[in-house]
Amino acid sequence: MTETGKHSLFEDAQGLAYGATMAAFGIVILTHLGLVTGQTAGLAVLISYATGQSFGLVFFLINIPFYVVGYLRMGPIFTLKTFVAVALLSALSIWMPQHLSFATLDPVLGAILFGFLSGSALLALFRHGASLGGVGIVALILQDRLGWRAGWVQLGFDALLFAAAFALRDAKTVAISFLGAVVVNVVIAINHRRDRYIAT
Amino acid sequence: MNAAACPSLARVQFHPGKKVRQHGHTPELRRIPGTDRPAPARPPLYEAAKAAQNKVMHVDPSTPRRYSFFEDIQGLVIASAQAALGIHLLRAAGLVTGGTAGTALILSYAFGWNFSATFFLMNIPFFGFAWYARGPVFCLKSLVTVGLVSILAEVLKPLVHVDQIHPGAAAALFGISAGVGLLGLFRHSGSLGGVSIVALILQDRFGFKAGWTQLLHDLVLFSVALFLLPFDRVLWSLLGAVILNAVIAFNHRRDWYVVT
Repeated sequence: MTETGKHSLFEDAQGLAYGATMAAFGIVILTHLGLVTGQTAGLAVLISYATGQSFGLVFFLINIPFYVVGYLRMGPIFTLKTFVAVALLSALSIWMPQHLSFATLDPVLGAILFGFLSGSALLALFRHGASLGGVGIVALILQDRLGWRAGWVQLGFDALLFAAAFALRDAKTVAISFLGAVVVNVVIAINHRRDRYIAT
Repeated sequence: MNAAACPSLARVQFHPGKKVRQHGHTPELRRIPGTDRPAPARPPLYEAAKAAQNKVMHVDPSTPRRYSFFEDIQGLVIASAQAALGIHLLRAAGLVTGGTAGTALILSYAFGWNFSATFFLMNIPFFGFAWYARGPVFCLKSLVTVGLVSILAEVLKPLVHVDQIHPGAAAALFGISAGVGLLGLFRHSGSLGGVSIVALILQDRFGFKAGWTQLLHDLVLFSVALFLLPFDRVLWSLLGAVILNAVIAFNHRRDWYVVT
């Protein structure tokens, strides 16, 4: 019990596989409904809606610069794990819709399911020392360098994302997206054990 | 690790605010080394520190924190939603699984019964067993989770209509979604009732390993499935059940959470 939060390579691998698969499932629901969300994934979703490119491709590409900052701030293992999780999520989010599609999907329920799925996916990734990319790390660096609170930086980023979303989506879609983002954050806030797992 | 294998672990529970009774800690009479004369009493602070140390040895800081009522509720709700979503996908692909949910699915395929009603009704006798095996709280939590899963599986039907799903994708997504759902239920000491409770009672009473009871039940279930479903669906179902059990086997922390 002394090795709290320490996992074997295999345990980490299955944790990352779970996190990436569930997050991809969440993204499939999100993009099927045309909703948006926060953080790096939210930026990728917006760019993918605006350009018509697939979410997976955009998400993979915009994460590349963040690996450098991730390496500097969090070290090689965290960066490698995050790379694996991001790559897996990108690939699965492209692959999954070919094998799973919805005839009807209620937007509100979809947003809540998205929140549950990505919330627990992120919890798993945090527990196994990974993350889903950039914005959180940049927020940490700004906190270190400039003393800006990381939470505020992330909130500011999400506020910008949602403001931009109004340009691409109608108000109802943005409101439902907001519900989804709240559910993700509530799931993480209640269940992330900072006493056991120290993560972004 | 069950209570028999490691009684100290199973019994350790930290009650903040309650006095921790210290078994086996009798104050021995200290003597000055090399003499027969009793040593002077140690300052009270020393005794207090020593007592605290003894307590810490029993109560490891990483033993389960007690969850608050609200934490339990959100845990049970999210976990039930994940389990229901898994079952919904399984149903969309026409697959089955093990356990009571699997039996309910097979019955719903065979007789055209409603899964949720079948699942809930089938579980009613097991709530009695749950009370008997683990007491009223466990029974109530099982009732809540089985009820929630039944309701959510029904709610998902009109709101989430799966157009097409590859049975492999259904099996994999079911396995991890329901697997993590069950982990969540265990951590908040709920359960999805049924066979696992009977297995637990048989283990307590007759020493018949719970895993064997569940395996036998699932073997019978999958044998029946062979007659009802196309062969490839049975194989995909098997994959889903293996993934589900792997998720639980690799992630259930018996050192933190002592449950079924």
